[in-house]
Amino acid sequence: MRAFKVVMPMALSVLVLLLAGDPASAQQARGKPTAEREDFLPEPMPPGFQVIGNEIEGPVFADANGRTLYRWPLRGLRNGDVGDRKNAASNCGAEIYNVNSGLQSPWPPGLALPDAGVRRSCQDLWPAVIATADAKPVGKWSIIARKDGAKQWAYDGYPIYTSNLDKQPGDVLGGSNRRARGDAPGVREPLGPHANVPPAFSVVMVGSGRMLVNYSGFSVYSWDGDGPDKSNCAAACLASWAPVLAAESSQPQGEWTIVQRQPGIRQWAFRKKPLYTYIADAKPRSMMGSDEPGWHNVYTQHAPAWPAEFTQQETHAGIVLADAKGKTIYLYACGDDALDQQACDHPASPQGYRYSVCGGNDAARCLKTFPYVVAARDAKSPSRSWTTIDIDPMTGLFAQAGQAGALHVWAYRGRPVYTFADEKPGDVDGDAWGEFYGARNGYKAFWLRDDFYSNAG
Amino acid sequence: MRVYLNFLPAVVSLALVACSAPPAGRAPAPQASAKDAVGPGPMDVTSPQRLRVMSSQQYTNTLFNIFGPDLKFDTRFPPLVRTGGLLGNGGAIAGVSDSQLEQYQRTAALVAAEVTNPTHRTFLIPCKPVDEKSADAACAAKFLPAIGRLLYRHPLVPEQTEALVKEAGEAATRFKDFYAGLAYALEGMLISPEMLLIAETSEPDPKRPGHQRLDAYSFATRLSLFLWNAGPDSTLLDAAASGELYTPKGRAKIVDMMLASPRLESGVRAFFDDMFGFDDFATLAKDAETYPSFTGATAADAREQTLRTLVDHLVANNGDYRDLFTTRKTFVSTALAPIYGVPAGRGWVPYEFPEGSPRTGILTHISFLAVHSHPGRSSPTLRGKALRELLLCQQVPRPPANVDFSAVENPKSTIKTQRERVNLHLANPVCAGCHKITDPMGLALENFDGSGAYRTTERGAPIDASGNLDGKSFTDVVGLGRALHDHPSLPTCLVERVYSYGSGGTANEQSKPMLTYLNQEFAAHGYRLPSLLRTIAMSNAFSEVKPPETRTASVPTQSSQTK
Amino acid sequence: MTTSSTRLIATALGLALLPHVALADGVTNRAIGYVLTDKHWAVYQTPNGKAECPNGMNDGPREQFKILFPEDGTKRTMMDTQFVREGENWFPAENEPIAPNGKPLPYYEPQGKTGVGLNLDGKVGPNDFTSPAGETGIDNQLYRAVGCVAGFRGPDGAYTFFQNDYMQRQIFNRVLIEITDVDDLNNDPDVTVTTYRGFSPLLNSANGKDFIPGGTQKIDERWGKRYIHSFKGRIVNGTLTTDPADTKIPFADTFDTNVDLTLKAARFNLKLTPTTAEGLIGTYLDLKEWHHHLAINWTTHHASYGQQSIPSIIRAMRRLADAYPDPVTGKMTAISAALDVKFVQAYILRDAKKGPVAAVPAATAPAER
Repeated sequence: MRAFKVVMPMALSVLVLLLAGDPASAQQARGKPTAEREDFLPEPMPPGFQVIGNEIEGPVFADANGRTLYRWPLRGLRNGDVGDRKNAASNCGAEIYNVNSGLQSPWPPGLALPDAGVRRSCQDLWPAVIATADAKPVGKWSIIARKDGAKQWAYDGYPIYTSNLDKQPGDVLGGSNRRARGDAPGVREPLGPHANVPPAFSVVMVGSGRMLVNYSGFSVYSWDGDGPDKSNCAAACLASWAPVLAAESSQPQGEWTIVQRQPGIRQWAFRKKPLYTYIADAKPRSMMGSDEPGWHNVYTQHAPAWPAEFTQQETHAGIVLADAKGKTIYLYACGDDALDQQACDHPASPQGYRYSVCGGNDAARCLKTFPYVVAARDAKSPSRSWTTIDIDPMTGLFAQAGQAGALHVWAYRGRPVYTFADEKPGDVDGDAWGEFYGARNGYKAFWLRDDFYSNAG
Repeated sequence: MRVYLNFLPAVVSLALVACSAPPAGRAPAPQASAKDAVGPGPMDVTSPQRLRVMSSQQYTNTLFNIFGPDLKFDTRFPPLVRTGGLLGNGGAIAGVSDSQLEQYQRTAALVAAEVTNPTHRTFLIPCKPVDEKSADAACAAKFLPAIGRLLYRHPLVPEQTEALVKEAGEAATRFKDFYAGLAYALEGMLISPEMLLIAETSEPDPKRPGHQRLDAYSFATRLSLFLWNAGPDSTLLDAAASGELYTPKGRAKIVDMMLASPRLESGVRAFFDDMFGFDDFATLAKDAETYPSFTGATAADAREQTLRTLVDHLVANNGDYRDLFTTRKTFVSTALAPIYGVPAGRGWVPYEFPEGSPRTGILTHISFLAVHSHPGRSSPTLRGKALRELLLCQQVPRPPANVDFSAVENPKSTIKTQRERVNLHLANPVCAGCHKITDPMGLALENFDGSGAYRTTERGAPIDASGNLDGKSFTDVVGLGRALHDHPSLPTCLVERVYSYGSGGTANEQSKPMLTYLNQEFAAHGYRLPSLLRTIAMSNAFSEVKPPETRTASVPTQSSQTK
Repeated sequence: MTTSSTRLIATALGLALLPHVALADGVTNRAIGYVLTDKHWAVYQTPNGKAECPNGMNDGPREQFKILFPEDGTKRTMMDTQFVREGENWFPAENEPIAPNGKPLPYYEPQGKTGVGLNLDGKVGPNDFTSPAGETGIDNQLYRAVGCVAGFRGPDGAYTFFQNDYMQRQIFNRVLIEITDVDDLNNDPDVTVTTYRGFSPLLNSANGKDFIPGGTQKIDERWGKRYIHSFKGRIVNGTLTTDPADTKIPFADTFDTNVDLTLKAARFNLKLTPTTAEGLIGTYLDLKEWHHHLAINWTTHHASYGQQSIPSIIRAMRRLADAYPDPVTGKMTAISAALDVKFVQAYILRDAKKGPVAAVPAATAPAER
C-alpha cells in the first residue's frame, strides 16, 4: 500500500463509476471516458502535501488544500533568460511590469503592455508555497529563502508555486508538462512524482494521452492476439514485433507483470498485456505500429474524453481532433513579453495578443477567422478537462452571467477552442498561425498523431 | 565512490589463481558423482583451465541481462591483445592494469548508484527496508546474495553473504541511507575480481579417476560465455547447482536450451566479430572525395550487414558455413544500398543479388572489401592477406622493414590498375615471396573499389579479375568464392577458431585430436554451426581440463613494489 | 532483432525489393526516380546586386518599425505598434503605411529585363524577362516582387537558405519524381512524370555537403496522397520538359509546420543524367495560398533576419500578379514563379501490400491572362 494519500477529486471518482466498455480501436486516441489512472512512485513529502491524479498530467503534487504545485524553470528566450534558477531564490515577486522586456525578438523593449495599469504581480498570479518556520527539508523538497525573507518550498531545487487559475483540488490549469515547443514562453510546469513504471520504460505526454515508451523513447505496443499475461506472438509475428524483455532481477509489481517466453527469457506486461516494440518504427514516440490491425500504443492514461460529437480527422501529416462537422479543433497559446512571463491564453487575460494575429486587431474578423466551437446550452462534458463556458465574443473575455449575445462554447483546460475559417475536414491551415508558429501567440491544431514532427507531443 | 587503493593486489593475486579447487570462501560446486556425464570426443584431450578477463561486451551483456538494458554506463575497457587470431584469447592473460581498474571502478559506481536509485529499486530490489534511513540486514540479505550469484556466476557462501550484508549495513549507517549502503556493497561486487575475472576451477572427474574437470559453475560459465557472450543466468546456475549440468541428459538439455535461446545470436555475433577482425572498423576511414558514398553510417552498417548475414545463414537457417562464400543472399540498409546500387527498405531488409551478379559471398560485402583496402584505393594484397589469415588461419609474413615502396607509390606513375601495381611487387624478389601468397586471390576482388563499389574499369583501363587460390584458377570473384568454398582449410579454420574461442585460449599441439574430431563431426553434419557449437559444448574436452602447472603470482604485489 | 525476423518483416511490409540491376543509363524497368535535394525560388542576381537593385535591399520588420515608430521619446504601447505590425502579417492593408515623414514605406522591385524562369504562357509580354541565355518571354513576376529582399537572395539569404535546409532535413518535405515509360534517358518523345512525397531521409555524402544518388525512398502512401500528380512529358537531348499540370508539394520551411503549396500549371524543365536531374519548375502561385505559406512558415523574428517584410511582399505580389483572373473582379489571383531545383537519383518503393498508387488526375487549365 502506498504511504501517501491519493486524492481523486469527486468528478474523477464519478468517472470511475461510469467506466464504459472500451471497444478496441486502431486509433491511438479514443475520446471515451476511462478509469485509467497512472500509478506513481511514492516519495517523501512535506507534511500535508499530497498527490492528486489528473486526467491530462497524471499524478501531480498538491498542497494541503489540494492546489497543484508548479515550478518555473529557467528558459532561454531569444534575447535573454526568464524563470527561476535551480537552488536560487524565486524571480516571481511583487514587482508589477507595465512594459515589455524585449526578450522575444524582434521588437524593442519599453512598450506598454496591453494590461498596463491593471496588471497584477507575478506573486499574485503564482502564489509562492511558503514553508512554516519549523519546516524541515525532506527528500527532494528543500526550503529556499525568498527575496523578502520568507521561506519558500522548493522541489528539486526549484521554488514552487500554486496558480490563481486553479480553483478546485485537482485543477491543473496553470501549466502543462506537454513538451514545450521552440520559442514558447517561459512556462510554468506542474510537478508530480515519477510514474511507477519499470526503468526500462517511461511515460511521455502526447495528444492522445500519457503514452508508454521504452528507455530509448520508442513506443511500446500491445496486441489483441495475446491473452492475459500470455504472449502469442511467435514466428512471423516476431519479425515485426520485438518483445520488451525484463531483466533477470526484475520484479513484477502492481500493474506490471512478467511473462515467461522461454527458459530465462521474460517479457514485460502492463495491465496483463505483453509489451512489444515495433521493428519498423524509425523514430521515438511513433504511432505507426498502431496502423497494424490489432496493435495499439499503450497508455497509462488515455487523453480525457472529448465532447461526444467531436470527431477525428486524417490530415496530410497525422490525425487531429475535429468538431462534429470535421473541422479541425485549434488551441490558442500565448505568453507575454514581460519578465514575469504571464500567460495571455485565457479568457481572464488580455486578448490584444490574440486579436492581433486572428483579426489584425479586429474582433469581428477574428470571429470569422478562428470561430469559437459553440456548444449546445445543455451540452454535457464527458470529462473534467472539457467544459463549456460563456464568452463575450467581442471582447474574448468571460461573459457576465446572463449577458446578451454571449456564446456558449467548448473549452479545454478552461480555455476556448476554435476552428479555422472555412476549412474542410482534414485541413489544418490554421496550424502554426500566429507568432513563432503558434507557440508564442497563435494557434495550433489539436494533434492526436503527427508522423513527421512533434506537434502531437 | 569506494576507495580501492588496496584492491589491486587482491585482484592480481586472485587473478593468477586458476584453481583446481574453488578459492577459499567460494561456494563449492555440487558434489561430483560417478553417474555424471562424460562428454563425447577424444578422451585423452583436455582443454586448458584458464583465467580470463571479462571483455567489455561480456561485462555489458551480463549487466544488461541482470539489471536491464536501460542502464547508462560506458564500458570502453582497454582493448585485448589479439592472440591466435582472436581477441577473446587475449582475455586469457592475467593481470589488470591501473587504468583498467579505474574504468571498472567508474562503471561499478555508476551501475550501483543506478540500480539502487528510486526508479530502479522498486523493480530490481525484492524488498523494502523497514526504515530507508537505516540498515536493514534482512532486506540486504535478500538482494545481495541473489545478485552476487549472478555477478560471480556461483552462489555465495554464507560468510560472503554475511560480509556483504555487514558492509551494506555499515555503509547504510554511515550514510544514513539503506540504499546507499546497498549501493556500496553492490559496487564492491561489481569491482570484485570474482566478477571481472573468470577464474576457472576444477574438480576430480568422478568418472575418470586422475582427471580433472571444470566444476559445475565454471562449466556453466564457460558454456555461457561461449554461446551467449554473457554470464550464466539463473536457469543455468540452477542446473549447475542441482548437478543436472553434469548428467548426460541434463547437459544435453541445457546445451539445447542455450542453442535455442535468442541470446545465441549475441554469442554468434561476438565470435564472428572477433574472428573477422571487425574491431578494425573502429579505425576505418575513407577519403571522402574519392568515396563520397562511404560515410560513417556505411561503415557501421557494413559490419552489421555481415553479422546479420552470418546469423541468418548459420543460425536462423542452419546453413552450410562454406555457402557463406557463395551465397547471394544478404541484407541491405539505406546506408549500404547506394554502394551496392540497389534499393533498400526502411531499416534492414533481406536482399538476394540476382543470378549472375558478382556479389557472391561475404567476401563481396563492403565489410571485407572496404576494411581490407587503403583509404583511397583498393588493395589486392590486404584483401589476399585477410583472406588467408582470417578465413584460412594461415600466417602471412610481415613485409621486411627495408622494403622499397617507391615504384608503387610514385605519384607520376602511369600505372592504371592495381594489377599493374602489384606486378611491380612480384618483379622484386624481396617482395615476391609474400605477394605470391596474397595477391593472386586478392586480384580477383579488383572489380570492387576501396569502398566496396562494383567497377569494371580502373582509370579507364579494363579490370582483369582473374586469379588463383592454392592451385585453383578462376576468372572472377565468383570463381574465387567457389574456390574458397571448396578449400579444405576453410572449415578447419572455423573449427579451430570456435574451439579456441570457446575454451578461452589458442589451440595447441595437445588440441589436435580434438580438432580432428571436431572437423570430422563438422563435416558429417554438413558444416552447420549450431551442430559444431553443440559438439564442442558436449565434448569431454570442453569440460575436462588440465589445471595450470603453477599457481605462483608473477605480478608484483603492493608490498613488493619499490620506487 | 534477429536477422531471420528482419527477413520476415520485409515480407510483412511488402516492400518490393526484387533483384535489381540498373541499366547503364540508370533506367530500370523503363523507369527512373529522383528525390529533391535543393530548391530555391529563382532569383536573378548580379555579383553585388547593384544592377538589379540599385536602391539596395528592402527594409524588413525591424527597419520598418523604426521608420514608423522612431525613438523620439514618445511613450508607445504594444497595441499601437507591435500588434499592428504583427497583425499586418496576416491581414495586410491594401497600401503601405504612411510614415511620420508623410510618405508611404518604400518598397523596391528589381530593375532590368534579365530574369530566370520559363515562358509559361508561350508569349513575350512587356513585363516578361529574358533569361541570361537569351530566351525571351520568361514569366517570373515573383522575382519582381522579392528580388530585392535580402532573405530571398542566395546563397545565404536567411529565407532562401533555411527553407532549403529544412526541406533537406525534414521528411515532411520529401519530394520525389518518377519518370516512367522511359526507353531512352536522352531522347524519348513520350514519358510520364509522377510526383510523390517520400518517407525517408536524404543521404548525405561523406563530405557532409552533398547528397548522394542511389538512396531509397518509400512513397508516403499513408498521408501523402495529395502529393501524387502526373504529367506528360518528353526528353530531348537529355532535357525533360513536361506539359503544364497542377501539382502540390510539401513546403514547410521550418519545424512543426505543415504547409504545402499548390504549383498551378507547373511544368518541369530538367537536364537528366542517370544520377541527377537539375533545372527549373515553372509555375503560377495562388496569391492567398502563397501569403498563408509565407506567414505560417516565416514568423516575424525570422523575417527580420532577412529584412523580409511579409505585408510589403504580399502587397507587391498583388500588384504584380499576372495570371488566373478572378472571374468577377478580373483581378489576377496568381503570380508566375520558378523554382531552381536539383534532384539526385533514388529508388522509389511503394508498399506492395497496398497495391499501385493512383495518381490524382491533374487539372491542366491553362493560365489565362
